[in-house]
Amino acid sequence: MPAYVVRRLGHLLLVAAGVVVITFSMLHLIPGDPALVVAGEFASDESVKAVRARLGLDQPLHVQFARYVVNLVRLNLGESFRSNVPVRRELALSYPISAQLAVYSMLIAGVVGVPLGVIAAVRRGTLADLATMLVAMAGLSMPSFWLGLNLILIFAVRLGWLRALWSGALIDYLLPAITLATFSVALIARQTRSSMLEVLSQDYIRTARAKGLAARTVTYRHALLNALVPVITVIGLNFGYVLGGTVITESIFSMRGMGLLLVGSILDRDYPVVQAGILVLALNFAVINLAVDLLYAVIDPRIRYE
Amino acid sequence: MTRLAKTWQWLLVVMATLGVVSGIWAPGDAGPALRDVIRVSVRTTVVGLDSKYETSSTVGAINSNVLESLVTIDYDGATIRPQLATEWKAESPTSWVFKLRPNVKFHDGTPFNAAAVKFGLERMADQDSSQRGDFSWLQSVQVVDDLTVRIRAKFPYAPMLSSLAFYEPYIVSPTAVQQMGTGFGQKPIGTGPFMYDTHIPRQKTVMIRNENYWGEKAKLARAEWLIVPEENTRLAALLSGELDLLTIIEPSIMQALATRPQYAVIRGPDDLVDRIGFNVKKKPFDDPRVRKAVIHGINRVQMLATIFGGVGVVFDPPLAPGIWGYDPPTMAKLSYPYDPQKARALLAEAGHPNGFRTTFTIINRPDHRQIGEVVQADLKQIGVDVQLRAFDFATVAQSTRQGDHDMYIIGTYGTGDPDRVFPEFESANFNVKNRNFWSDPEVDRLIAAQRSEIDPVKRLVLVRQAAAKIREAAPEFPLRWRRAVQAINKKVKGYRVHPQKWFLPNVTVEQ
Amino acid sequence: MLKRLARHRSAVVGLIVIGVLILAAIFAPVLAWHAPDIQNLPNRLAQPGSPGHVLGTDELGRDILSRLLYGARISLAIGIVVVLVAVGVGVPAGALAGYDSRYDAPIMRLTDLLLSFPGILLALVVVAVLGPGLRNAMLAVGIFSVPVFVRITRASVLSVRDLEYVHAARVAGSSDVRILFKHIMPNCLAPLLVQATFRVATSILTAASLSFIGLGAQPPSPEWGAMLATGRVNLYIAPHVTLYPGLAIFVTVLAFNLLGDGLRDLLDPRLGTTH
Repeated sequence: MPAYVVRRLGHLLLVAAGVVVITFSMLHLIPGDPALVVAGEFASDESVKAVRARLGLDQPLHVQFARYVVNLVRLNLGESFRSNVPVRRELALSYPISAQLAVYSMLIAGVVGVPLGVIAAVRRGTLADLATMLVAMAGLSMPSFWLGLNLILIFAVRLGWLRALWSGALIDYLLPAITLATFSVALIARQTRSSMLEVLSQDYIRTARAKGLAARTVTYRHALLNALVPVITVIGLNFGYVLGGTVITESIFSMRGMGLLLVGSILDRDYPVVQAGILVLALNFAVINLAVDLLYAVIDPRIRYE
Repeated sequence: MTRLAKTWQWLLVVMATLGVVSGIWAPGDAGPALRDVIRVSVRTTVVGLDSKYETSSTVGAINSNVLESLVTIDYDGATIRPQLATEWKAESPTSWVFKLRPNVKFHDGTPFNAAAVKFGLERMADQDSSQRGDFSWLQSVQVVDDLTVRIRAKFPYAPMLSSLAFYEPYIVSPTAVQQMGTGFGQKPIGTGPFMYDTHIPRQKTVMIRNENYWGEKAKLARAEWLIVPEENTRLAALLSGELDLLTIIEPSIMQALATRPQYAVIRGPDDLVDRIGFNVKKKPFDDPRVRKAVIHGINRVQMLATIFGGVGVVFDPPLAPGIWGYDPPTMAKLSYPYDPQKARALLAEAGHPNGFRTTFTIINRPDHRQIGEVVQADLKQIGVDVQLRAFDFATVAQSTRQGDHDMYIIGTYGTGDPDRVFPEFESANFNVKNRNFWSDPEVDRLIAAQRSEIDPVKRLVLVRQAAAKIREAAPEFPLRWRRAVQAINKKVKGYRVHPQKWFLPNVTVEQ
Repeated sequence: MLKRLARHRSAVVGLIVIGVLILAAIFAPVLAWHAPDIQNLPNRLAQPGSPGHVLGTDELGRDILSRLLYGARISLAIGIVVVLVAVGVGVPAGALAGYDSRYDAPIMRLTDLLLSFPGILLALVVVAVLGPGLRNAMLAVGIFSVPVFVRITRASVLSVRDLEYVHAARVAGSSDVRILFKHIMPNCLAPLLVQATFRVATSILTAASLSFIGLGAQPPSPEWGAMLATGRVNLYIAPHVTLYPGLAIFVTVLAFNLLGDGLRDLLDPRLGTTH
């Protein structure tokens, strides 16, 4: 077991290194000069040059990269080109918002999706199956911003129950989390349904059914738990997707999360913020993947020796 | 008496007492209760607040509550008002003397004086300042005494006072700049009726009343500026009461509010002009007939009435009606009205009877995209096939500076001195302010001459001559001079639209 | 019996809708009363049912129904291109990883790397490098759809690789390539087909999201997501401008999802998706 964990940690570091290299390369491939953005559109060529020197962008690429890596190892993420605010502070402002949003939306998705999937599996082939899956799939079929804008219209404007602008309070996460959750609900429901079906068709379930009520209840509970394992994978994978894909929801609900920060920084050619932000998101995703896989390995010993 | 009856009796007594007591203490007809905070929404994101480095008009408009300059512009977009300077006099064509307001302190307590003015002005002309181009005329700022400065220009500079008023170099606390270093941009310290309290880049800026302001104190205790990128959410927040004032709104929001009496759509003069320019280094825009044909081919009046919601004024290049030197009799009638027939004739004359293909560089924003689509459709009618090239701001800025473009959209000024606009036509400013890459030695001479002509009568002649030549050559043309349109909850009192500021000290908000 | 029929019914509904979509796309020039990019500014935001405009006009006066019909072509194209890119790269990679364990680790690491990048941001960067436009946006979406297909193919290949008959074929002297194509790949077809169907659905949605931030189809393209994105400013005064493209996306994506679900049930009811 420890060997497995160590090996997976090694993979994680490899992926992190890959992310750093690819992000750095891609950023420098994008046309547009960060120094021009900072100096101002109407700055003279000398001013732009002066700014470029100040930001260290006039050095050859490998020197810039080396300097970045050395700083990274020292956990120095640098300062934003655009605001001179330490990158650490920018991330500290944005990451908690995105993380909370992702967690709450996955909670909602799980709480709604799992029961839907269970019902659909247990009542397979009936109208209930069709109905629950249709409801789940409705969420999978609409663009999130459409739903978000309409939720604001209904709950903030017409009913006045919730706020249209995010202000940091816990309740302000409700509408954005619901908006994000609709996509994941469907995936979770679908996965729950198919895993439940797979588990329910196995021999020991049939035996339990034959044995009678008490044995059935115990075994159904066991079945549900087993069925949930792949569901956890879906939840984990989706969490990573949601964490990075929140930019539209953040834009609609005026939340300054990682999405808006990174999109804004890419547009501003704010290299330090983009590099740090993408690395954080990638590490997040990798760590969650690792956690899910470890969970799997704990539950199913066969996987460890892969 | 039963226990229940006793309880009821007791309750009655309590309620009666409360009623009497509240009757005594309730405010009489003291008028509507006032709130102490106003919430304003901003659409474009705000990262830093130091106007030395930030060129966006949003930052300037917010800063106008916190930072002050020697002189400032009034609500009409033309009259110059004293602010931190009380009197001024032109000593010579190259120097002005300003008397400064006494007993003014910066928000950090340090005194405002001539040394601070020198510091504030000179930092705007620094090598790394984004405003450097606007202060390239500045030679020196001399401290005559604690409350007097002499400002010298490098050459006789007729619009010196107006430059100081329109470009508004903010006088900031030198101590603060030195102590805070790069952090100053997150919390500038000035002399205004409000001071910055917190600033979260890309999210929210909060300012609080300056209790030690030299003038009349602000009526509100606090103002919050919230960045709300989505137009629909801004409207929703206004309707739900979370926002009191929306800056810059779309025509659709105007329409949506027309049926809601608790909200008002207010208008006023704006400083901005939307215009389209031609890169005359690229064929076929080197031929003025082709350029004129394109202008004739675009229905600007219809564009104004439809996608701009009728807000604004269409005019001829290069001077907007708000600019000094604009001549109503000659300029009121468009020299380049919408005339597709004439356009086609001009194209044929220039050797393009079947039209031609070109590109139109725009920024990837909804408003630019809409303009691009309308221009594309209009020009198709006269045989010009326009391909839209929409990129993000950084790419467009670099691309147009390098001259990679054919047609492009850019903004310019709509109020103030003509010298705010003329640099865009000078050969010395190629790839910085002059992205048309057009020049004419005679126009260069006229522009330089009007810049140094102190006598306003003679200067007006020169200005109009230069403007006429530019109009005739048409290296660019305006889509419209904007008019500022904002949306406000009627509970907000005392707010007036200003072309450059979102000015709050006189504003109150009812409950 | 009822069970199978119920599931099949929804899949059949999905199939019919997709059929209608394909017909609309092919016959758009015939069916549409107006060209999709003809503007009529004085008649902008006309209500549905106005003369000549069954579904009304958009903010530049263009007929919405016509734009929807032409937009069907684009939506189909998006789905096809994205799936082609993702399958074209993902399936060979996954097959190689599953079949030959020398390549397994590096390919899986690369896949993990790709998965670590947040989708929209990757698309933003790719489009910034290559230039805006639907083609580059589809390329980006295709790229970040690759990992799913790698994993599915690899899992399928792994599950059959060591079976008796494959072993027999190898002993009999068949080349690796032949074994792969003849014996192993047919096994993967089912899950791949199912996933490809789902991918068409999500790629249409992703294209709409990219249009929201201005990265997808460029004006004046009648892509449904772009219609939603530009029309949404008028949500409070002219909701029809976003309602119809929104419905079109909803119905289309739902149809592909239903079809995918049905296919999966048909091909193997116990098939768990290995997302």
